[in-house]
Amino acid sequence: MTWDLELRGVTKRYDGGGAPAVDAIDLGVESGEFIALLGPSGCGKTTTLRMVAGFVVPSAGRILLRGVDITDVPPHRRDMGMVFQNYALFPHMTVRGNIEFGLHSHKVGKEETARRVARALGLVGLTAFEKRYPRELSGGQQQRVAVARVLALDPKLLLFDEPLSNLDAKLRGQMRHEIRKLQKEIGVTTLFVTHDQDEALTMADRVVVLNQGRIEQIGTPVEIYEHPQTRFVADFIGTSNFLAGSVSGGGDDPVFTTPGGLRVALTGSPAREASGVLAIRPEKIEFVESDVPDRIEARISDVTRLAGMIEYVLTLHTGDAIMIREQRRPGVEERASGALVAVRWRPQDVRFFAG
Amino acid sequence: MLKALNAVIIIYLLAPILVVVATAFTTTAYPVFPPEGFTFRWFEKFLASREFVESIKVSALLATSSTFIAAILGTSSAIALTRFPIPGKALISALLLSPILFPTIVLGLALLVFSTRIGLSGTFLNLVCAHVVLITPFVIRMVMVSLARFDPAIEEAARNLGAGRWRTFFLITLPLIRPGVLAGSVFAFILSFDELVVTLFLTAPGLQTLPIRIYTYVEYSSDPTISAISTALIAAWLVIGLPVYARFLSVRR
Repeated sequence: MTWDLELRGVTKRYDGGGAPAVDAIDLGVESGEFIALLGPSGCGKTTTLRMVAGFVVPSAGRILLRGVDITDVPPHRRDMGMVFQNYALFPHMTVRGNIEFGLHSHKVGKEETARRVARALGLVGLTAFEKRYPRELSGGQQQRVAVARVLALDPKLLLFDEPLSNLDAKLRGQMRHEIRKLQKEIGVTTLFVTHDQDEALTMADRVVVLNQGRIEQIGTPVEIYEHPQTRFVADFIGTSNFLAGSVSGGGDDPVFTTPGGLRVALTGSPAREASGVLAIRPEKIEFVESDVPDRIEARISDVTRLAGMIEYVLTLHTGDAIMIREQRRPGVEERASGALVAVRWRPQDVRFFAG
Repeated sequence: MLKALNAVIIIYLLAPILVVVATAFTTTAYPVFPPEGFTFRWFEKFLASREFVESIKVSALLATSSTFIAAILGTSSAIALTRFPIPGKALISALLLSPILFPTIVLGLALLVFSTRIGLSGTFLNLVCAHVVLITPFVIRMVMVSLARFDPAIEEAARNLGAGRWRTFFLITLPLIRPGVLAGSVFAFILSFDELVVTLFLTAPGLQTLPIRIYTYVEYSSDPTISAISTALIAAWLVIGLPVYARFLSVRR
């Protein structure tokens, strides 16, 4: 299949040696897809985006847009719309001037320019603000101008560089939906850089998790959350309990054992006789009655009250510690620290990572 | 308390100017303060002097052309020094700003030796070249301050929206660093217009700038004509310079 955007072994090494900022990344993006590049700071996500935009020259690898190699095309000839973290609006131009700038640069005719400015303003709901200067707008409005400015050009690709990180929490949630809705309406292929996993998981069709310049995992938000393929992903996305130990038994019924003697049955077939960690998410563990089979006895050692849920730290009978979260809802009593309890999880909800 | 101190400082700084202006109107044949009587005689004498009027033309032409060249050179150097990974950047910056610290009398001598060697001495072009050396660092300084406050993402946004390098420079970068370019140019112009020491080394008959004319005049005469010229310059600054200054350099954005 042909990808709308394709990265082939794209690498960026900076002078002075050291590990590459981006290390041989391969990525194919389908037409109309919303891809989130997610990772901690310094993982190479912004460098990758800037290479796609043309602001950073790759040390190796090729970038293809609709099958055409654009690796050596200067940024102003790439037909991509980028929304910057600080919006990068032109402070000496009005909202209209900001939107017209790109159209004039592309030598779009007068009537067509007027039509496209009106459409772009309408899309982001800023028609009444066209004569304002950026400094006269709120953060959210500036954000919308930045989006309108690139949409007016009908770009082949939309690029976002952490565009919501400067907004307050409430507005951020609102802009997530707005951007996502707009992107679906227009159907433009989108690359969205963020360090915020909620943002990536709620907005993207597929999430690319990056760490130290390499791709850890590519998948839908559900795949990334439910089936992390590496320990980094299990740790970075959401919260996981990690138990150190080793797998033994092999064959069809591998069993994971901690030094304290906790034995956990695994599904699938992890490498035999490997040591590593077991990951399980707090919400995948449930409290059960003390007569349920396969239960694990534990004592509550710490209670933390959060909004909407309560977090317990349990000391298992083997001495291993795990964290568990329980929703506050009718009929659920808060458990006391020191109480004896029993818990259980499903074998398919635990993952083993060797190493 | 602070207000009173403020007033004292301002009076201390402005008093010399007031004295000069006042003495320009005295009827005595030498500057006295407080002035005696009131006359425009010294202004008439100044304007009737072909030499003074001629020297003002020379100075204005010299300051204008040097400032024009310094503005272009200074702006480009400031951009290069801020944006590009030039090896030895710190050293170059320090050297470019060295004329500010360099004793001008030494610089004047050096430029005289140099211009004689290359056969440029005694020409107007030579004066322009010397003044450009003197004033460009001020433009660089001011433009670098403007650039330091400039978000490079704004230029990238322009490139991303389809503008080439030149279009980006003239429509985005230049308008945004304009306060720095103008402030630097205003300083550069004043510096060039007022320059005496270096010019003294390089001057030639027919190339008498106003400061040189004033300098030679006060060697032989001490009538208040000089006060009248100073007053006229202050007035010119108030009428032409200050509005430009306030218009473009006041707190914007």
